[in-house]
Amino acid sequence: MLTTGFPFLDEIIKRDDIVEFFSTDYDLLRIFYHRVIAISAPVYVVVVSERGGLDPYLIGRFQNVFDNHAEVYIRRAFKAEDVPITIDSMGDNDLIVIDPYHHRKNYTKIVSSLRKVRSRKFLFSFMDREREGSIFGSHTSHSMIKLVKSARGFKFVIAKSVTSREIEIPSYLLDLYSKVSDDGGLLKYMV
Amino acid sequence: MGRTQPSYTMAVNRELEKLERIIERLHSPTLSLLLERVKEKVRYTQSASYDELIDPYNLVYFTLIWALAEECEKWRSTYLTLIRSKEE
Amino acid sequence: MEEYVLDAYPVKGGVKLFLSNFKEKIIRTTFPVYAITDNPDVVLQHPEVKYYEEEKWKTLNGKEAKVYRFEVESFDAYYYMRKRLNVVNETPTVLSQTLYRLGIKPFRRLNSSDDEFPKVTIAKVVPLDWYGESLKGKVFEVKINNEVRRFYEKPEVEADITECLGEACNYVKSNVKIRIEKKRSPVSAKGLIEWSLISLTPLHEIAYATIGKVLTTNEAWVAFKRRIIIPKIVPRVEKLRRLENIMMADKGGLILFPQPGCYDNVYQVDFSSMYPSLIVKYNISAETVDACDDIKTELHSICLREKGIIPEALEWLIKRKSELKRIDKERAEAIKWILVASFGYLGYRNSLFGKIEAYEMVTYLARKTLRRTMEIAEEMGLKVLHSIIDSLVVKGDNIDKFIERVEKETGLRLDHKRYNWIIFTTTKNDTPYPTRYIANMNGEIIAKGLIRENMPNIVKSFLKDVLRGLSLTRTCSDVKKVRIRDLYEKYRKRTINGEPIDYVIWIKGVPYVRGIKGFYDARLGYMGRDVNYYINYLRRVYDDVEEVISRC
Repeated sequence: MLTTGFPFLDEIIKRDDIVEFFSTDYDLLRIFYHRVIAISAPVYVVVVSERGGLDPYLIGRFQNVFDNHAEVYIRRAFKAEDVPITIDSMGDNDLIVIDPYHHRKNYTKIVSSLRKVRSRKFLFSFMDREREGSIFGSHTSHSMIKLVKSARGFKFVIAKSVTSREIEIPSYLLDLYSKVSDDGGLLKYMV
Repeated sequence: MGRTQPSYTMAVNRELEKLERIIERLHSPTLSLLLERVKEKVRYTQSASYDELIDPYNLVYFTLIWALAEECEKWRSTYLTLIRSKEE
Repeated sequence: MEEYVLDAYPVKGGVKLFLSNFKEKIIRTTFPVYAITDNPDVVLQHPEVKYYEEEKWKTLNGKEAKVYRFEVESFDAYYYMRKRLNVVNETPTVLSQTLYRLGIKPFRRLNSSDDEFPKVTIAKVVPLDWYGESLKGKVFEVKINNEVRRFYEKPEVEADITECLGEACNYVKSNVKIRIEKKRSPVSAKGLIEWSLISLTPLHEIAYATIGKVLTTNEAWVAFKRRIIIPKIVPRVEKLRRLENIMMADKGGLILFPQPGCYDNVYQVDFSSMYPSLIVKYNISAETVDACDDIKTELHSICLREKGIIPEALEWLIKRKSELKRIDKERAEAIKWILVASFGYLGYRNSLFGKIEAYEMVTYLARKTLRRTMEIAEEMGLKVLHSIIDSLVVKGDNIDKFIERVEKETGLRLDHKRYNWIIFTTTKNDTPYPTRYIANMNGEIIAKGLIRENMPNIVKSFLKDVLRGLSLTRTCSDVKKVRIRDLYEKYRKRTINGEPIDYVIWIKGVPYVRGIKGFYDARLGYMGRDVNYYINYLRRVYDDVEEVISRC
């Protein structure tokens, strides 16, 4: 089951089919999706990139933290033309896609594949979505969440959501590496 | 060098650099010396663990233990030699 | 005496051939353009499309497919079709396909087919400035076939094939001019001729291309002759795998790090073209890996029912390289480049005939082979000092028996050479540095990773003199006695009062000098040097060499 392990965030996005996490902070997003993969296992992952994208040892460390050693299934899509058919090949499984728009082309086919099957999807994009705009339009039940470094750690900025208005959820950097308690503190009164 | 996973040697170097930064802040000549031993040995641990899937983090600390073990052995031998020469 | 075909260009209604001795010839022909379309008649509306024929070809997966072959009068029509239709079979190039069916082969005689290297004149003309080769100059270096001369005024050169740099191209009369500044491949003109020969592609179509183009063309001919449609792009879906499987498969070559120091009487043993040989031996190609279970491994399986496209394309090149090695080093080197690149191409995302699983299969088998070779060495009492990807350094007796046994067990060919001594060096961090070593092969020094391209000229000279000194030694204890202090002092003095050319540093093809205010472009003229920078550089290199020698 796709989950971030941040209970408050998971609550907000639980009814969305497609959730897109984006950031211009490469390291922050990278660590976050390694965490999400480990905590969501068993899980299917598509990695879009010619080189790099996944550090199996980092996933391994998260698997130890969350004591979850369930299977992680992977397919890599090395060029733009591989992306839509690779997504299709994952069938109706819930899916994590790392950097779907990496090649900055073939958008229509990629989006079409993402919307084709009614399974849940978490997308992680290395881009500034606020500037580049949403590709999905308002028809898809879809959230967009930005990760930004802040003075004390980082924050999730809920840029677009069907369930919630724009809010920011601050977090400590250390939380990224560990289990986060269920008690959301004062925030639970805000929504 | 893999296509997707990071270069193992570079990952090991990153862990070594982390260790080096921590040791620098501790200002301990003992640890600095130990670190030199670790650097000399770490590539051999890499070679030996080639077909296993060992986290670079664990590899570096294993090498540290190896360096410590050799240091202990060195002093053990020195001590025994000293004892023997005193007995004579 | 018949002329050789040097190059060919499309013209309206035919091809124009440039032959040796400045002869030309035009041959009337149409050009074949293959396309997949539902409406071939619409294409006929273009005035230069003469007619079409329906043909049955196969896809890469073996399925039958219908293709139309259009015969067009000019390349204008070809480019027109490309923009509007799904044109396929563009590799090998349309021009080379045209020549092929006319029986015309680049760098062969027009009407006969002997296999000798063409007897043509090859020239290289380069202007020289104070810092070395440059686009403009008052002095010119001219090399015709193998003779080199300097001209102190504008030269007049005539040759069948010429390589020229910048302004020099203006003084050359040649129907085939290769502009050196536009080249993207590491081979000489002779190498390009060899590439043109083996890929059956006119020289101008590969002169400024990368190795990828020749490599792919060579593979594409195999597919073409099997009537397999060659598209522009082959989208692929990777095999679904668990994380652990990717961790095991996604690796490079095996490396056994050496203990730094000097070793007497060792042997360097290399697998000859290891990766291409594995590709051929195990029939590794996109369409054979995981197609059936003839060879099962813990990674993927390989099908042996049909010879793979890539193994077929490489097999003859491996043979050719061995044969050429004895006749002509430059041509053998040109083939070597293709072989070296063809493995990487197997895993390249835009590869037509490769896929990642095939690439992984090759590295897996290479690691296994090298590991087995090390085991055999140890079984036979040899000590393995170092191994890296496709070669090892061993010490011991019975080297011939060892080579024999490895060749028998692995089915691959080995070369070996004896070194009087070899020195393995370390990095700044005291870790072993496998890609930097010095070896003495009976007076001939082999130094890898020591003299870097981007070092100042004077430092390179210093290192060359150091190596000359080392070439006179025969054992590690001789090396330990070598004194380079005096040599260093001599160079230190020269650094203070050197010639301008001493201070030139080439970085990415551009000459620089470090001046008082920083680096400046040498092409603007010599404007002084920052002596301290060069003295410090020389000092660091000297200290490094002393350290290397002291470890002996």
